[in-house]
Amino acid sequence: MKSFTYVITDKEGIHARPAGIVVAEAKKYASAITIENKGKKADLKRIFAVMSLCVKNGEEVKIVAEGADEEAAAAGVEKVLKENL
Amino acid sequence: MDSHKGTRVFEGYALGKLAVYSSIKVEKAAGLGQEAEFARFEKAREETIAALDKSYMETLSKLGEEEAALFATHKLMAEDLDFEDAIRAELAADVSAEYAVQTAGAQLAEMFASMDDAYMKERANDVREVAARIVSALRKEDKGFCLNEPSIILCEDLPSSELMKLNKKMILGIVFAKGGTNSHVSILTRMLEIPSICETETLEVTPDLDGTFAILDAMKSELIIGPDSKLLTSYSKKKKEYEENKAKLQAFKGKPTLTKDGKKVAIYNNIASSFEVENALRNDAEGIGLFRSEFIYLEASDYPSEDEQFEHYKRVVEAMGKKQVIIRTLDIGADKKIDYFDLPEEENPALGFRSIRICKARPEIFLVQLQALYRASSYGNLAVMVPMIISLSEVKFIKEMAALARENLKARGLSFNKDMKIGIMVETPAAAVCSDLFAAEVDFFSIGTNDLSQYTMAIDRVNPNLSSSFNPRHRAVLRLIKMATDNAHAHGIPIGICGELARDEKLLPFFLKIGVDELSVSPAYTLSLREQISHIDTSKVDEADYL
Repeated sequence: MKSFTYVITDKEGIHARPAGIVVAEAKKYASAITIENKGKKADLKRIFAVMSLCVKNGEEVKIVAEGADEEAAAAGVEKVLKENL
Repeated sequence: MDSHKGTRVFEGYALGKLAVYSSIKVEKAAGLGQEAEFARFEKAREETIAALDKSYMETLSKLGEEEAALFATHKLMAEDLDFEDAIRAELAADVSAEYAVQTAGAQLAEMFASMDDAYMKERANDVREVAARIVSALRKEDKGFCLNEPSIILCEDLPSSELMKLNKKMILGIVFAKGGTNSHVSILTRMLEIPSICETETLEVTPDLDGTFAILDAMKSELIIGPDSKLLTSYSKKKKEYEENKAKLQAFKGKPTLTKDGKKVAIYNNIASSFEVENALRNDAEGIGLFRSEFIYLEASDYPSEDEQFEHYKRVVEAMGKKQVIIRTLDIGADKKIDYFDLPEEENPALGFRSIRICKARPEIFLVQLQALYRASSYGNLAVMVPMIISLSEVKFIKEMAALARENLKARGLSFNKDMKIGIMVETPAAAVCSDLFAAEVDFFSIGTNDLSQYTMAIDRVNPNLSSSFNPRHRAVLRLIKMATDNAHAHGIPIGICGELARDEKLLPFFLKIGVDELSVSPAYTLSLREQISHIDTSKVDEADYL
């Protein structure tokens, strides 16, 4: 299992466009990947679930990847989070 | 004949038949059985995804990544497993795939609509749009909305994917009865230069309007349904003149701005938000003379962070490339109030706590903005100007804060242009009268004619009882402009005009004669101003006539 936390710096929080980019990235990996915020957890490969967390600017999210390619998955997701959110 | 007022999305005229767009409603119907209906859904979803990929590529090549990204998100929504689960659950009741998709889409949309977040509420439309696309793919016989002849589209709102799918040659204009000027589809419409208006509150979109002849006057933001022949003739003429004039002005694109006697002046644009930079580029502005940074503050619900501001500034600076971008620091107070600033009520706001005065009282806000600006300065040709200056002590304060901002960024290892130009707005009589002193201390001047006129004549420019006395061509105002211009040039610094007056037909010869270096106007006036200037011979102008 590989995990990390990240604080959102986008003014709108995780809105549609960046959510799309992050979900698209997550879907590239075989590992199960989840995103957790304010005690709620969602599958990072499901865009509606991710958007419904309604993550706001300044909030922390915890990403957990578990599976064969978890190292690459966590690194990949962290990279797009940094670039887009 | 009946007419409806709205808000302009993009200027122009359109005369033609209305084509009413309405989203598809599906009635509850029995299906061919769960598995068969699910298979139909899967096939329709594949087609929808292929169409979304096409819209993505088309938008990417025509308008760029930012506008295209939404289609990639829609694709993910179409593929989403929760959406699929919800459809499966609906199909368990042996309904048609169309009905299951619509119902599942409506449920998800409802979830977004009920969120306690304005942005997320709007996403309900994205979900509905994706569901509607799948439904129309399921309905083979119903090809969905298409235009068979050039028409004015009438809709409550139009999904941007629908817009991209349509043959653009068939779109004369668009009326979004609801919509908003900054929605995604409005931005696309503007980029495609389609005459259009939105928010026509009095207009009810009904199917019987389809095929009715109408005039869209996107100059006056009005839709006239069923015009009489007299009006029609006058509008055909107007449209023709407008288009001929527009075509004629295209010849001035890519050309320097020169007077008849060969004097050079630069035409810059005033913009109020970072996306307007597209309009400036399309109209061939030679720079941005006034980027009103307060829009970033007005849109936020709390003080915008350095990163947030930096992104906006960087977008404009990068888009303009080598061309100069002048960003005005925070100009609030007076008629522009922001809740979270918690400004006190004032007896006399125009003469009150505003702009640099607020920055001096709350230097931490100013510092964040300066740091964001310095960071953006390494991405292009950025200059900063500070409004409402009256004394040298303010200039000293600005310089100290700028030095502090540079130090902080250096300590954080961030890059910036240490020589970023810092100028002031000359919009108070105090600044104009002492412009010789200021010219020795700053990098450039920019004249804000609205405030300069109001303060010089002591006339409130928003008081309707005084509007007939408010004369910005008053000799006192023009003498101050002349004084500031001469002092700027004596110290070798440039001076621009960024108020409404910059494109005043009567004053243009005067501004050119005294050697104003740059005129900054709204993007839409760029080319017509360049044309106007080409007819002026400054050797025949006597500035004494104006003073």
